[in-house]
Amino acid sequence: MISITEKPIDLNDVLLHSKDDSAGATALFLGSVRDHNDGQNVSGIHYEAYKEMSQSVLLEIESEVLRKWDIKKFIAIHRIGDLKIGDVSVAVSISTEHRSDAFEACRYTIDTIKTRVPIWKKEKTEAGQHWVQTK
Amino acid sequence: MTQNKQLQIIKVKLFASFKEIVGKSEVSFEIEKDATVSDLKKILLNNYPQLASQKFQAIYAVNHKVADDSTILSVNDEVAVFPPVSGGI
Repeated sequence: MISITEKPIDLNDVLLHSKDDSAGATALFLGSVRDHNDGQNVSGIHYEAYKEMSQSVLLEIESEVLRKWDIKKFIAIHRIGDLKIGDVSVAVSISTEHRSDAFEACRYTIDTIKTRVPIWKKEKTEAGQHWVQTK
Repeated sequence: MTQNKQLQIIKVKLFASFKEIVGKSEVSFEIEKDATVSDLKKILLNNYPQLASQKFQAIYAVNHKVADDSTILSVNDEVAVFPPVSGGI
């Protein structure tokens, strides 16, 4: 299951959809908005998406992961819009038979989301707002 | 006598800093049939030279796939230009 959403990510719902009787392991990764970056205080982040392409790319990533590992449940959700400190911006939850596959597939998914899904963040700091450049 | 070249209208979606610099979320250009992403780049920069001073490199996507300079554009293609992605955490 993949999703790009303006609404807060419901973690209970993520865990509920991660359940599978044949899975012995679930790896859950959450990315949240932190209060600082590059030595500056951050008060919030605005996420903008090219929604249609983001959904296609997330589906591509899901297919890649399903090919590489024996996946029982795959969930990747990215929130967009105005987020406050502590808000969850991205959730990846992967259920597999054993833990090593769950960890590996979860790591691959979040790393790939960060490099391929067309979503941009604009940080709000004391000095104003600016788009974050990829390092 | 030179033959008139056939033209097509290509719409281009803009995102993030590119959208702010141009002040629009979509622009359209009349370009020759069989024009490529490389041709579109030149037209975009001619019309919006402020994009050239951008510190971000531009990524072009055609029908939701990242496109290279040689990709040929057709009238029904969904074309987009945006800076490198920076989502996640």
